Amino acid sequence: MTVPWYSISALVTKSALHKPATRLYPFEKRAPYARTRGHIQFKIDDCNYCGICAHKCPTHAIVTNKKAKTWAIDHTLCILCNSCVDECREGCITLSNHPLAPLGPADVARFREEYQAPPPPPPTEVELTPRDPAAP
Amino acid sequence: MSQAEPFNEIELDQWVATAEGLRADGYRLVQMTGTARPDHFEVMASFDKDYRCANYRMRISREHPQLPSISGIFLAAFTYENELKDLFGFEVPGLAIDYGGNFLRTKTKIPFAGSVTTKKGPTTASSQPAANPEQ
Amino acid sequence: MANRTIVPFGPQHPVLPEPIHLDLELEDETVMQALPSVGYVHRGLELLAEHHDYLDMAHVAERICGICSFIHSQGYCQTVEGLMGLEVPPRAVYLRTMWAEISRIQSHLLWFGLVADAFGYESLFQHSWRIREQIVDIIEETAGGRVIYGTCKVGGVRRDVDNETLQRIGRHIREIEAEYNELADIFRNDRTIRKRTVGIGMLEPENAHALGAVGPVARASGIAFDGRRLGYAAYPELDWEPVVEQAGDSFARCEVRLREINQSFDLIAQCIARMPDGEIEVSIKGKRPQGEVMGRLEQPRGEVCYYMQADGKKNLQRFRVRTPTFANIAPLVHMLKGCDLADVPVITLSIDPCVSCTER
Repeated sequence: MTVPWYSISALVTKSALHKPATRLYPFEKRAPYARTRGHIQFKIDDCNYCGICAHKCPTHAIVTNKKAKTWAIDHTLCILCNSCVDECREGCITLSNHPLAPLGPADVARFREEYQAPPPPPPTEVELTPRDPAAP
Repeated sequence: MSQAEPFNEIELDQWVATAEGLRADGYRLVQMTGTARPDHFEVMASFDKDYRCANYRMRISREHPQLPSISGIFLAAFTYENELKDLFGFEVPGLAIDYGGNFLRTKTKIPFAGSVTTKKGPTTASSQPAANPEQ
Repeated sequence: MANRTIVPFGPQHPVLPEPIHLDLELEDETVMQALPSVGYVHRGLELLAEHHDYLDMAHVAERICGICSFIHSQGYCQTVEGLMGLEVPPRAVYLRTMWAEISRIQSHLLWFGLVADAFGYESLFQHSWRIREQIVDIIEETAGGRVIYGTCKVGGVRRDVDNETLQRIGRHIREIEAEYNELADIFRNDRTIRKRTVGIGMLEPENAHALGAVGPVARASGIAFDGRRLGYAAYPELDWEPVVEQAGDSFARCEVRLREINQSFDLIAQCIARMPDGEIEVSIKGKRPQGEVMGRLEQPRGEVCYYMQADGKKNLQRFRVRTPTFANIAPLVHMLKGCDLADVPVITLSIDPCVSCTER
């Protein structure tokens, strides 16, 4: 059993002489790992608007329109699951390993404007009438 | 991975006797789940001994939802029975520690006691049309 | 003349990682009774299973909790694969096991920091989280995200880790373990910590069994139940024993978790050494989940149960998760009887509450 004050003071001295474990963010930023899920990037050149990416997206972050030839992604809904990256047959969608900078309110509003949310699903018929507790 | 453990259907009046038998055998209560089916409530309980699980299922009528408490046998049941009481409005005679409806904080009291109609159809996320159907 | 008061503990309290409410009935400074009240983090995730495709639910299952995220997604995928009758390739099984053990280490290190903070020992809190940062960096390097791994899917795993990275991780793990052992020794031998945990919050073995305690809470009272012995994933092929202590007090619960961190380091090394080659996923074309099953796993906090019922459609009919913290509320309420008010944070943290799992 080690003597506590010795090991604690050894740890404290080592930490005091060591350089800080933190970095001066935002002046120094850590380089992300190769696999870090940063954000989804899209190149419209090869896209044929097949709509598979929008179909597979679990949060409906992607909306495409074949006739109007538009493709939009709402980054605030995207959960970076990479289903779209895996499914795109033309290779238009890639994952970048730099996370997006936090979106200001103007950017979010702009995304939401260009982006047309899918119509909300008709509600399933579940009527929840609270049961009268006085009834036997 | 999944262990093929059976789900036994038992009647409500066998519930306490079954629980006593399991306690005498040394089982431990694992969980109790309530589900609101369209015409009845269903309570499913699981017990474990030596890494094998025994599951029991009971149907409880919606008009008089009464569940005899097994907290006298398995004291662990009081949390699950309080939750069932708060969500479905069961009466649980014999509950050892009764929080009187305050165990779960909900905006509407007894939220799951209403009628349930399950409808599967084009309301699921995966079958949403990707593009706008109207131009 | 004894003074009876009711003091609300939570939902916001500096030591609690998530909101849970306990009404403490005090007589002078001794707790006579604790009345729990949960429901602050309920998000209705179980009902989502009836609206979302069962493949998409894997993403939702991962987000039930941020600390135990990987094991939720592993449990969901495993249970659904059991319903579909799928056999996952061995490499995927070993990768899942490795990630699960890494997840266990980071969860226990998070707990270690929080319990040190509960004593007011903030520097130990920061030291343990500094070690946890290195583990989380390993997670980001292999999986892509720090908290939400996004690697488990029905049928296997999404990403492979190449053998060279695995060897490098194996060596790095040994260095992290050496740093961790220093901190664990400080925790075990410090006189103040011992004074605040030894003998506090006693849970006798009969009570632990009767109250349904799971996880380290049960193992600290001598009940040798470890959900990993159920035989899922790669655990039957690895060499390990459940960590059991006999004392039943808060110090024993802390000791169980500290030793489990060492055990997890060892399990990761074994996984890397025995990692088989091969594919990482199996095709799920034409199969749908059918039937009902109760799947059980071992989370860092105890045994978690996944009950699923499916009838061949794209959505599950019923999805229910019974998380270990819910099962540990009953022992917690029992342990708080008769303790001092100042011990309440320590005892609450010694069961390692994860309320977003409890109120999914």
